[in-house]
Amino acid sequence: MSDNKYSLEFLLEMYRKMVLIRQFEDRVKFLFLEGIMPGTIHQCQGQEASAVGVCMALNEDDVITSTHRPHGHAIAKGVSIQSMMDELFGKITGCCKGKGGSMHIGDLDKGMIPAVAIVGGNIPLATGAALAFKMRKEKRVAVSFMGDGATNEGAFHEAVNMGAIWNLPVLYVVENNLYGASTPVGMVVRTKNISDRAAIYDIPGVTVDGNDPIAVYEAAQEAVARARRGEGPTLLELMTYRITGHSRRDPALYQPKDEKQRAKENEPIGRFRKYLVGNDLTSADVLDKIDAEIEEEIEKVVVQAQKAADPKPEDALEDMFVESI
Amino acid sequence: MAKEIKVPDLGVNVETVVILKWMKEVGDEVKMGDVLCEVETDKAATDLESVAKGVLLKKLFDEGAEVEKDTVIAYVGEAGEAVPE
Ligand SMILES: Cc1ncc(C[n+]2csc(CCOP(=O)(O)OP(=O)(O)O)c2C)c(N)n1
Ligand SMILES: [Mg+2]
Repeated sequence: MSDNKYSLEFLLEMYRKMVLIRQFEDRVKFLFLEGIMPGTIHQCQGQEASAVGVCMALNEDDVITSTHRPHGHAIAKGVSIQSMMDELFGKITGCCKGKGGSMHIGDLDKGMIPAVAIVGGNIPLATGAALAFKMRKEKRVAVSFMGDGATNEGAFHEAVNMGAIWNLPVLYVVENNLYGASTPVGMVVRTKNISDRAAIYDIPGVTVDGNDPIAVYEAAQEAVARARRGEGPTLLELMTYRITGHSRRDPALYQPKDEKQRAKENEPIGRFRKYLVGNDLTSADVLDKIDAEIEEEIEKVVVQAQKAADPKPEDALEDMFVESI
Repeated sequence: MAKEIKVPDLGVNVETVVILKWMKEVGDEVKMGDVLCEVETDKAATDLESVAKGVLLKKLFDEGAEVEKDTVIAYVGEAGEAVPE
């Protein structure tokens, strides 16, 4: 991380959002382990910096699309954690009225198209949103978050090609956490970097330390500015690591112990704390206080979500079609 | 109140687990997410994490025991707190 050029307020906001994501995910994990929350879940502990760094470079009316692992992206884009927790409990007050669950989190009012669990399925959606912005001459930008695995899907190549030929205002953000489920990325991608794949579409491809929220923010800012100028998409590869299982019951035995250990030392929140405190930008006390406030906030959200009403059977027939977004 | 630690649902068709190794002793401090013991399903060994914080008050099974899903295997709570027999 370079010399600081940001206000303390900005840096603490970055920290707060990453901790909000981490604590939300951890709390949900324990609700699952206790058997209180049903279903399965894909969590993003260790990948918080990419969601936060990218979304802090966006405006409120820019849109994002996400994957089977969407909680971090949603929180970073400003979806309320109450509406997310309610959704995870299947309540009528959830952001998808309890019909979507973990893998379809989203809120159009906050600029998040509900997540798509079909790997690669959200990439054409973001491209389509960007096409709409361009046709309407709006200065808005669309972002597609995806995993490394998704870049082997046909949908990725078709969508990136289309974004490129039409210079669409879109960012293709690859969170490279080194695995697609249990498959190491090196086994299924021949190029050294996934960003190298940008070359065949003649768009910029950049690989960045995805556990450094400032580096992510700066790379995203540049790509967003380019998109807003009408110069087309960027493929942004963010190197990160998932410090939890692929899904709820995955003990992740395919992650070697030493690799896991190194990843824990390199996880974004601990690193950012060290950066902030080590450079005298703030104190550990200030950060601990933020942590404690968030813990309290999440506890309230969990209590409230459990009290919220369930949808009624007839609600299943509502919201089948939308006129426009 | 002391909190029950149960064998979680570890996957489709996993009805029992074997407790391989306790990683905490009675009296040890426990944080949320600390590994209490290692368990083995018919597929793989995995860590069983604490869903409560405090002190490990009691272990109900020895290493090697085969335990059904949802069974209480330990209590975590405040030091000195009573646990059900
Ligand atoms: C089209 C499709 N194929 C397979 C799956 C099953 N699946 C869900 S997540 C996943 C791995 C995705 O890996 P990656 O894109 O790297 O994302 P990560 O899980 O690492 O965030 C797979 C194979 C799916 N949901 N959709
Ligand atoms: Mg991956």
